[in-house]
Amino acid sequence: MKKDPAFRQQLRTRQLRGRSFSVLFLMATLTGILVLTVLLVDVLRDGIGWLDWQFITSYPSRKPDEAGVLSALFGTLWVMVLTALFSLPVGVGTAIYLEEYAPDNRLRRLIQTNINNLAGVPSIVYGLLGLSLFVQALALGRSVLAGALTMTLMSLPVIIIAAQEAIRSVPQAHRLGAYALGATCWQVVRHIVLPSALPGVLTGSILAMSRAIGEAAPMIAISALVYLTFIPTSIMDRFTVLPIQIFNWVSRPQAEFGNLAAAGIIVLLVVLLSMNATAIILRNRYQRRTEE
Amino acid sequence: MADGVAALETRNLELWYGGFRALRDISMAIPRTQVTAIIGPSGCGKSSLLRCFNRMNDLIPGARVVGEVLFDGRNIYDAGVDATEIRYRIGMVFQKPNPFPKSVFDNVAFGPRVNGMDDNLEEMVERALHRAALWDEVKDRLRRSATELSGGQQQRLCIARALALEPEVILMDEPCSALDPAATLKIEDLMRSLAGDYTIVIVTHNMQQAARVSDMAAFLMMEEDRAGILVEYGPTSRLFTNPKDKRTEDYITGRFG
Repeated sequence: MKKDPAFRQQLRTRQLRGRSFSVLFLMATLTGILVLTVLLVDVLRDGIGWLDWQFITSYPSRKPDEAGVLSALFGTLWVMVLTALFSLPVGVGTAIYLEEYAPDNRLRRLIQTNINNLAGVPSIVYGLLGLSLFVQALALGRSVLAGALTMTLMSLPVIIIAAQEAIRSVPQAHRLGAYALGATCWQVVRHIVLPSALPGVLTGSILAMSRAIGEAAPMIAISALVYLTFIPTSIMDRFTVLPIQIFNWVSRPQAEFGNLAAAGIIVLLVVLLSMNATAIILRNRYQRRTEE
Repeated sequence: MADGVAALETRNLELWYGGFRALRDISMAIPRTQVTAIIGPSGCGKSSLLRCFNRMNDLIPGARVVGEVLFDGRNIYDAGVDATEIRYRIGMVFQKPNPFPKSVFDNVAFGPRVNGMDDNLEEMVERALHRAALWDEVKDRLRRSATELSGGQQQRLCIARALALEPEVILMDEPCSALDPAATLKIEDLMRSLAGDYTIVIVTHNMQQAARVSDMAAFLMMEEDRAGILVEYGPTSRLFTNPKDKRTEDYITGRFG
């Protein structure tokens, strides 16, 4: 072993630097967790006392004691289900086309660049687009349908990108193996690519949609309605969603409405977390099945 | 060689990848129900040539074939020929075992299923696994994942998968390069037992393997523009003991490559 003092000295410095960076990164991690914890604790402390069955089953009201999230909760569920119905087939179809069928030419790259850029467009822009396109031009009114279509536009780029990544992670050797057995392009997609990509596609899609559900901006442009005292019964009904309701309560001066907002946030978080949990469960189940 | 016994025949075959010529002027007739080995240094176009035989190069963007590959009396690159039908009749085994992430049974049944031969699947699968000398090892685990098998078993599964379609020709692209010597030996034995019923074309890096398993051998090498040419083609015993071309002799005696 070399006994070079300069090397020894330098080694100590290098190891010290290594240790300090690990501490630095740990602190970065803790910052995020700490902020999240504070946020959650704060919301729970303000809202948990107001969160009861009456809150879930009541319509909005001027009296805080009687106010609830029923219409907003059902509006959110309606929009969520419709958005999933619209955006999943279109998004996954686009991803399959781009990855498995489209020749690698200018047009494909143009489409790809556009999708990547659309994923970064602020949500309020989608709200205004939805307002002028669905509400006004297509005369759908401020309906659940118009809201869901707007949410679809907003989630599509993210879903497409997530699905593309999942499809790209399917080993090329599996595709070639299937082609070499006389499978057609569609059979390769159906029997080889989709089963392997499905967990990733589902996870990415659900996360994209749960992100969309939490957005207030585009829905304010479309719906802008707070005092809704009925549950939408058809896709052409007017609606409101949880973020709008929460936003409305937060902006009131009375302290009780602040607590109502916190309770509303808890409901929204429960909806989001259960969607994410669904994504995880689906992913695990399909992964197990493909490994069997 | 008389026309009647050639399973595959190339005539002035050229392969281009975009503006790069990967193969030049390959003319060779591959005899029916024998093992033909394609040997040569790395990058000389052995695998590219093999992929010409079942139109797998179609899947590579920019790949283009000039000349003819005759199979069953017609050029497989003619406008009316469907690549899917060619691949249904000419099987392929790849360098790395590539079982699908499905059960052993579903792997073997994949070819028959996608080609609409759903009757007697069980029987077809069993026959193919027997033929690939894998049945005894997997008969109790047909429903378990193919990815649990060892590398050598996986490669024999891939051979069984190809055999399930009863192909006329089986193309093998360095099928043993990812396997240990014991597994390699099993695949080689299998190849010998399949010859006689099937036409086998194998690409290999391994001279001893070519000498052991093949009846015919083709030696390819690169010219200065990096295009692969067929230097010499003939019975393996003759090519290895009495090569006509100096370059073949240099290669098989290990003087280059």
